[in-house]
Amino acid sequence: MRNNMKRFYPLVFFVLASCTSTLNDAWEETKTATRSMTRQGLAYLGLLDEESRIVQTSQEIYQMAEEEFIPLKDQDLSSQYMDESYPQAKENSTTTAKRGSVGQEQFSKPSSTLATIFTTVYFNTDEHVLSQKEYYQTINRIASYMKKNPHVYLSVEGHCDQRASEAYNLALGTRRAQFVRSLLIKAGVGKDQIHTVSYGKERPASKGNTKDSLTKNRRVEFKIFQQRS
Amino acid sequence: MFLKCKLLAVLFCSALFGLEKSSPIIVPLETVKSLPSLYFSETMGNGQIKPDYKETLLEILQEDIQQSYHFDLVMGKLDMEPLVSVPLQKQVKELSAFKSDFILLPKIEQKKFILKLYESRFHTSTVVGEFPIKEKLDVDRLAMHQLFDALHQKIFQQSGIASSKILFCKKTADIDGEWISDIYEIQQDGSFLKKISTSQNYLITPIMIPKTKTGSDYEYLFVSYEKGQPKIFKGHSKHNQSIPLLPMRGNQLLPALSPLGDKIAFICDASGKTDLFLQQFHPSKGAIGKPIQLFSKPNSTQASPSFSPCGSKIAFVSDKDGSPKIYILEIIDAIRLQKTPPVRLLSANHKESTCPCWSLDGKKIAFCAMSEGYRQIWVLDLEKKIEMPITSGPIDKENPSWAPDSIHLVYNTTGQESQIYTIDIVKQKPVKLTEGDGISHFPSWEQR
Repeated sequence: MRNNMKRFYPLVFFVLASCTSTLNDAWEETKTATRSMTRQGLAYLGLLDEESRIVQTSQEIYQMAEEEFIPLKDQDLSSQYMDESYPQAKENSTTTAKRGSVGQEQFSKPSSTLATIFTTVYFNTDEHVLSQKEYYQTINRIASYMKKNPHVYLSVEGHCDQRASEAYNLALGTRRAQFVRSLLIKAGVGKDQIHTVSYGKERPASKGNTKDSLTKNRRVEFKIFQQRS
Repeated sequence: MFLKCKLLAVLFCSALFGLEKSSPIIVPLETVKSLPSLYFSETMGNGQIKPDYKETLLEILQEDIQQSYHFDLVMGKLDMEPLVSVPLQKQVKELSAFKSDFILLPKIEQKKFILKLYESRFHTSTVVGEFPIKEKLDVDRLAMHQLFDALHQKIFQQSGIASSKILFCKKTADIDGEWISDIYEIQQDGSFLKKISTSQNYLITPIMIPKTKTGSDYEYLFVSYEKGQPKIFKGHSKHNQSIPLLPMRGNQLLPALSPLGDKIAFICDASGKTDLFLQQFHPSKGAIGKPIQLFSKPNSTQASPSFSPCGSKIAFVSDKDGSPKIYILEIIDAIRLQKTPPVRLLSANHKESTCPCWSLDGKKIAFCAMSEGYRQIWVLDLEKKIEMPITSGPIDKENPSWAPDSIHLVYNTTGQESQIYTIDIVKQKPVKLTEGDGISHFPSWEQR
């Protein structure tokens, strides 16, 4: 009975919001409220983004953090770090050193033979979680290749469409890239083989404001660097 | 009944012993301070300068005075020089009928512009400054702006903004079609556009570090993609070298400097989440100690920090409750508790609000929000709790940054054209600073 009632929350919210705003505003508010309630509901039931539920141990988080920054010590630390939170690779001792301090310019788009493996994945509006099954297959393909080729390093580039502000998109791009990185690590790729870069909406794949253009820009692209053995 | 009797007894006693006479008399005082009046004496010789050019110079000075919104300006043809040059006793007598707080006495001697100021209160006249007239408009305009800023400093103990600079970045495609982004500086009036970075890399979000020494050189913070991941660097306007600020993993983005220049807030995903961080900073020593994680929430993105004037609070963007909105946190709460602190939602009136920028007077926060289908610059008056759009029109605007006077703002347009504009919150008339190809964005006004 209580669950049935919950289904009507968005409708009730829509009706209440309609009283004070334009129809468009009310619809946007309702979408936001629905998304928030869905997230909270799924989190409560333990079903939130199954692929991204990567719980770090407190020890691991603190060890990494205390070297470089003073972390928050919330009591619910494990729940804080329950989403797509694999700490970034440490630069001096891992990725950078191993790949010989290469700059981003030495990472390049995969050659034509590898292009079928490292295909771009796309996101829904304002989402950082992949929704389509084919993209998870892409991640699995990339993970298999990376595991077989430990001398290959991957740059995961997060991009956004042009609707949100430039500054917010720079931050949102980090989350998209982090999500894909966490999937790859979970699939067995070495943490130090992958780093993320956020470009926000700085480098659109498609200009214009059509739905198709916007979809093409909400993406994660892959660039690789192969260390000479 | 008992209470009523007690009240009557108190009133009777107070009337009897005259207690009411000793209670304070409250006189409401005028709380809105009127602007000081400034008489601008236009009567002056031409020296060796053409009359038209002299008029142009005076117009520049007059414009600076008007745009500052700090004076009640009265233009006049009275030659005040003889009056302020006479002995003090006669001066007081002659000028007592003259109601202006200040009298401005510009003068051209041969090819030199001299600005004198007479202060009615003290009956003193002093030379504010002077400059040699080069008869090159850009050069003389800048010299006049500097002279006005000196005048502002003399009267208000705070420099004007007429000669202040704005930093921004400009994105262009190189010969191979690859995007590069450089940092430029420009005077607030749109003159002296100059590229200050030469890295042929991808540099964004420049902010000027408040100067500790006089002179035209300065240092600035920016984000560079030179090392692959975006990192915060410190650069110098003259020396072509930049140094990374923080030895911290991950994407370091959107740095904001406190007005006192002692703290930096930034966004970083070192922990695997897009969190808000704080770093102690010294303009010459750089980062001091380790960064402090200030705000982190599951499934949320933090962005665009901006300090309050005293540096104790930060306004920032978070989508922790759904869509991106602006929140305010007390830094001390996060540091003292070492816990994600409680935050206050700034405004619930917009479904999305981003890019907060706190004014130096602490009374206003500029931000971006949608209005009639386009992203516009809004200003929230923190005292009156009123918010209103400052810009309008069918083009998106972003990244507002306050001038030190807390009246002017700089921002950029996005979409069909990305250019830099300034606007003041009184007249709300935008002034375009940049032209041409490329995408000019992330402007930041010099803090003084």
